[in-house]
Amino acid sequence: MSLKGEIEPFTLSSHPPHRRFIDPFDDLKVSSALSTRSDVAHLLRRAGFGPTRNVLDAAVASGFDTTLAGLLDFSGSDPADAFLPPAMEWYPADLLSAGPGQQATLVARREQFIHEQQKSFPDLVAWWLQRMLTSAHPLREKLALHLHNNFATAISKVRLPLLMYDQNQILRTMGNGNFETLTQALAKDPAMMVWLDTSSDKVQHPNENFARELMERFTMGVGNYTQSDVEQGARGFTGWTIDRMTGQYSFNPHQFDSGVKTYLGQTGNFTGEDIVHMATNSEASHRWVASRLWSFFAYPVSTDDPVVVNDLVPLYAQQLNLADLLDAIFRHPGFTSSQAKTGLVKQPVEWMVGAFGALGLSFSGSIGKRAVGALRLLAQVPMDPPNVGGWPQNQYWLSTASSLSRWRIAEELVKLGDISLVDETSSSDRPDAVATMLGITDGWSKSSAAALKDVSADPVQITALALVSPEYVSN
Amino acid sequence: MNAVSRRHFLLGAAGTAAASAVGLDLAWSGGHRSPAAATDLAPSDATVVLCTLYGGNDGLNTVIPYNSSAYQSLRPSLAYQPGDVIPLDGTLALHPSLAGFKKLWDSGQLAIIRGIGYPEPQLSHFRSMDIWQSAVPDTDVSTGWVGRWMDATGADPLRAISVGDLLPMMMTGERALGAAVPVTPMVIPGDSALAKDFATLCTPTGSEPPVLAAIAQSGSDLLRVYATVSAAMGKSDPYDTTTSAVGTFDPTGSSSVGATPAPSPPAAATGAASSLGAQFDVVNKLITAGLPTKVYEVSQQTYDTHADEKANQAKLLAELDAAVTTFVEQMANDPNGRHSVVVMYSEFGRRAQSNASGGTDHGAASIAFIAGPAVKGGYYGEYPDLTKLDGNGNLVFNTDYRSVYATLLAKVIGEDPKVSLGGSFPLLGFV
Repeated sequence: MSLKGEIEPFTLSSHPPHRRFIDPFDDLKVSSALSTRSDVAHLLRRAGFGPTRNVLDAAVASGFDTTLAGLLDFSGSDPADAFLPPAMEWYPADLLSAGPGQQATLVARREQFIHEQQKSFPDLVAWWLQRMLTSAHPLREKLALHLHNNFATAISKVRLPLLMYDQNQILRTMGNGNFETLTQALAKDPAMMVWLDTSSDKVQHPNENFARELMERFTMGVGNYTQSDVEQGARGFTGWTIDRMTGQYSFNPHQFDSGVKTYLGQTGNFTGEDIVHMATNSEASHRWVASRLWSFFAYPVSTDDPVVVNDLVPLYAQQLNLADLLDAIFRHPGFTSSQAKTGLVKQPVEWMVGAFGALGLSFSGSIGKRAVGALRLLAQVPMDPPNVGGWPQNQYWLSTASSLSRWRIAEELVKLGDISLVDETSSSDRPDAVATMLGITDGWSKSSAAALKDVSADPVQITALALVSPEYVSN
Repeated sequence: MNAVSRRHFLLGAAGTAAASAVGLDLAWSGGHRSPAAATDLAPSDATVVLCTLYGGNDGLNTVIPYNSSAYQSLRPSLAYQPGDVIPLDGTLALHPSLAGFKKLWDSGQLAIIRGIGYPEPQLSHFRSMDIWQSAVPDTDVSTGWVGRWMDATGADPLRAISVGDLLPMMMTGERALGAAVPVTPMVIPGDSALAKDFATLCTPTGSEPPVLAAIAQSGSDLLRVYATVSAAMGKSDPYDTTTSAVGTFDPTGSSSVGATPAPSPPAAATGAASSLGAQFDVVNKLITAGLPTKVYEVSQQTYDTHADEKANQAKLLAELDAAVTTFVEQMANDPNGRHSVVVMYSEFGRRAQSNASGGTDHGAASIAFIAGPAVKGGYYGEYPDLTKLDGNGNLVFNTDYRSVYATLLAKVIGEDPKVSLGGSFPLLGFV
């Protein structure tokens, strides 16, 4: 997918390029204002979770560049911090070892402990959803969601919610920094080490699971390494283990393979840290990180797309800095192209959080847990991705079963939420009112307009159908 | 290949759109393969049921060369001993969890494809599963072998049904898409008037961008599938909502799906999360009702046994054994099911030598099972030589996996395999 013919050539320079919608001619001011509203709404959808009407109005008034600067600034307090995660624990000491003959009882007691801990998992997911909904820094949460997808790790094998919470905090606090630093932290993150068996990687027979996924799914992409690189990389992570008492990373030198390894064309007495360094600093990794980020925030591209190779990689390769890369993506003319504006299906989490915002709902309390159950029907529970590949995009979310679940959930959400804006509008104006409520700035298609007009007498049904319309289900 | 590029967008099929727009009036009315709404379907009553074992099942510990000294020495702590297995003959035995499969074998209803695989094995779950589901081993394509068959012969989403919330790549064509039918009962909101408005909302205009067209198409397909499936599942009036399932957000609903969303089992590529038996039960009901569907898919996860393999694989194979054995029995007693063929496959086998975690890493050639009342049981292909492993220590294939698809297309689906596979592959004798 190239951008040829659609936009002017884009080059990186120390000066941000002029945006296309800033038009010096007075007679174009009206269309420019509409275009600004459309662009800002698009930015707030992609860099956040869909603006409420008031947030959108304020952002349009301050303009695209100011809005973007605010989104990229993660400093300052966050009212979302007031909403606390559930209580979660690591194994207590009496579950970590057993005397002679007590092994079977110990296993059963440990299973009971895990079972109790897992009761808090829906609350933990609801906690993150509430952060997405209410954070003063929605891009920080959106970036964490992208990174969670890139480094996909699931409670299904990790089992203890505490470990998923700790990993989530790494994504949140380190997400806009250096990608190698982030990857080094995640390599030693206990949730990751359980998920990909790093903690059972021993010198005699290295376990290849983490070494493979590090390259294939996290940093480089398939086709850029050999099976030998997987095996040699796995030798680097031997001796990495989790301290049973603290639940933290620890290094066991007796299980470490200190021999010479050849990895991605380099030879040396490499450690696991060296392996992560070489993977994240490879040219393939530059293209992987840039294409993944562009695909998540703009529209799906391959690693050899011109936008990636020409516009993003040269900047990213300098510092491996994700904040710089995000800035370049959102300022790129391709980001506000029609290809980008109609290029993605909302992931279920984006759809759900956006709907909660528009309807004035909150994930705190029992409704949050139910939202997690609804997300399971839609096949996207945060912290429980289906596998290490994370969630694919677009067509993946459009099965007939998903279409049914989305519709059923929309009907129920509307009955719980605040639709006074639609309710208090005359029937004939309701299609416009519901578009305003949902932040849809580019109008309804002929099909959608006909359907919404037909149900406009019923404020509940017009809102529910709008939530499952192609205009709202797209991002 | 990354997950982004392989699922790039498909334009909705114009033909399906037209059918879907009037889907409300097309609820299929039952009976034997006389679907008024699906005249493009082949008349044969044979059905393929693909069972995807995600994660890479260890073929070597499934159909076991139990008397081989090479097998025992490759897997000091992971090998099964002769006294633990279910012998098929003096050379090979079934995993101890597969007692039901032994009965199928004894009655000639189980075929075992040995040494199945493809050249230049890929050890990535995702790449290898794409190779299996696309039937294209050497290049990266976004369509599946069932999807391409639909592209060539008719795009009605009812021709291929996957049980679960998501559609697998195999049922994705350039234009055609199969349907995903949930394990839970399908219940749409509101009455028929609301359904008509939903149908209007989901009618592609022909001028919208591809993403919006695809969203509209999924809604249209839903109505088409819903009308037929709900009738087949025994609901006389599909728009009678008095028997609705408990709402997802209904705070009084104790059985609400939102109440206790337990973590799902881990998966290695994708696939349904519900029990295999429940998925087969849906297929049983739809086949019994005579749905015009030629290909079904169910799935199980996850066989990715890098650690603690013995306990994990035993549990999974026991579930597989029970689900398939029950299903084949049901099919044998059903006039619509007598010719159904269950195909069990995984994206790869596992490393011949075990690792230090009580598990095995990703491998290559493996086995596939084919079961059904009309299946010609026995061995097909050769068991790989455990003393002649490839450079990665994996088993070497001798039976191309596309021969299974070619056989299914030619003998069960009733189509020239070339429409889907491009080339010709030797047919196997399992049907």
